[in-house]
Amino acid sequence: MNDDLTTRLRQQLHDQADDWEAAPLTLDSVRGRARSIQRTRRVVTGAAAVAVAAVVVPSVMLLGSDLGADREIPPAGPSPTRVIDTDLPTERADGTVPLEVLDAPAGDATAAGYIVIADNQLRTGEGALDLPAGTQQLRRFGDGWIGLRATTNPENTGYSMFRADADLRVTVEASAMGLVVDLAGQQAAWVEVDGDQWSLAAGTPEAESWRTPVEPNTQPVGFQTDGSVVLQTLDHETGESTFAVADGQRSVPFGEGLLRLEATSEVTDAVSALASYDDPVGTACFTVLDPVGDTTVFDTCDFQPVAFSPDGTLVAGFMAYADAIGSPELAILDAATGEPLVQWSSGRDRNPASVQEVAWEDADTVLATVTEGGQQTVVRGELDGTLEQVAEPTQVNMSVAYWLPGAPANLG
Amino acid sequence: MAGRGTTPRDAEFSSYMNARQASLLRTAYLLTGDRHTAEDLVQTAFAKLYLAWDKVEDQGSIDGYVRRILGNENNSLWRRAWKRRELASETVPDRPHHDEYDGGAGRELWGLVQTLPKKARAVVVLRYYEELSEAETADALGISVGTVKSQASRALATLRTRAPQTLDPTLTSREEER
Repeated sequence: MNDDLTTRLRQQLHDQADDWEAAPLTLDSVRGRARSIQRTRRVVTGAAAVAVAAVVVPSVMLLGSDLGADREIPPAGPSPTRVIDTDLPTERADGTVPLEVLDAPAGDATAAGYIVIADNQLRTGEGALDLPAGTQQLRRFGDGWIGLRATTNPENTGYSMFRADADLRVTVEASAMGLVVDLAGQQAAWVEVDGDQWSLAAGTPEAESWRTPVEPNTQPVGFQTDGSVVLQTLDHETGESTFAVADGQRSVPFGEGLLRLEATSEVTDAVSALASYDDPVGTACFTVLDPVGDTTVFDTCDFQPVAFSPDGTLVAGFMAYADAIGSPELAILDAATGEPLVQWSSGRDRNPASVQEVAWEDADTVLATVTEGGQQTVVRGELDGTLEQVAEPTQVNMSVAYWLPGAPANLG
Repeated sequence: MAGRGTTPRDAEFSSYMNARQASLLRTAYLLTGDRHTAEDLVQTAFAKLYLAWDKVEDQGSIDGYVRRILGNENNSLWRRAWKRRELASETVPDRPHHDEYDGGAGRELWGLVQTLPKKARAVVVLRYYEELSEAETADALGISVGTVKSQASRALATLRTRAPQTLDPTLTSREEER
């Protein structure tokens, strides 16, 4: 006799978990993890040893709770740890803080990693991995990797999607255009091209989940909370784009009149898009919307929202109009209102810095590639405005030395 | 356990941790499918709670706060994907789903739950294992009640599609409205 689904579901969940009565965590182990968390949030350069500093995080950033401020952790021994406050950047009258990266202190290595173009390597605090030749996009996927790379095969699209093992050795490859991966590295969606047949596919590290035909020149932009995929399709004849949310069974259009999608949040379903562009003036305006109801969250002509934070409460943004060199500003915005919480700007510097890419390192910390004075580096930016280097500044002039695997894919 | 030199603050925190640890580990295990990862997740959640313990004003809100940290950290596991640890035996099956009826003695639905998207899986675990309400689930995961409903509905539909022999169709619509 078949039982009701949810009754069986409850039973099996309890059967699976309830026999685990272990309590392996101790106060000492939790305190040790707490110290580690504090160390990854703040490092003071020049000190003989890493010091623990108090970090004040706006309460709104902690999932709506009032438990906002970190507590300094005293050691178990009798001598208290000497606390050194970091120097916070001086805020200008307009509320911005200087975008100065060459003088920024060196910070901890980032587990998120960055790509060193000259060496074709992914570098993290644990070491370096050689990339497959031509890698353009790279994301963690299951126990291995998934990515896009350029290919010289004239019979395909010019790009291929590859799967690789933990050491970045390619295991499988297929002609593809566009790839998105969820934050956990457990879902991917990509567009495959076979002759004139375009298909959108989605799957886990273990297996493909679904596949559906799509129009030519369709690219995935990101995931929604229910696993559906946000798509953008370019009509080469008209130069206009259309947008939809697809899940393998149906495709729901949204965003009529928008010009281009910038980013999606797989936690809040929010989508950022270019809404209007005045070419002679160079003015661009953007909108953040919920595609399900096609409702607007906020509009801005000051910033280009390019990457939502992992929990969807924040969005990183560039100056609304940025040229190919980069944006002279980088901001972290409240994703519900568009208000800047921190705004780095070169101001009226004679040799302004420019930001090429930005990605989220964690819920409230960004990584960005920034060029200043002909040198490019990778910096970590915090909500209190502090910047610290995580990669050695490298002379680049008009080229680039680094890119971020977690940065939004270039859909151009 | 409080020991020599333990402050009253640490003793209070330890008391909470000892009371809730096992339960949180079981939930974290269902969220992640792996006991080592579950321990790591819960340890991080307790560590962040420890850092903010002085700000706790309402003891009744601690569970909700810890669940929110758990949900957020579970979404951030991609940062720790660098750590190459040996997985426990409870890993995702090689085939994502199968339609073979198990006679009620196996773990067919659990296997299918592990193939759900992370957010849907979290909703399923919080709603059908922790028995949280839709509002409590929404609060823990930082999403809207509407999203909880749609996630749960789609998850059940997915499970139903992939394991049709487990269903009693006459009870389906009533249970989905609960």
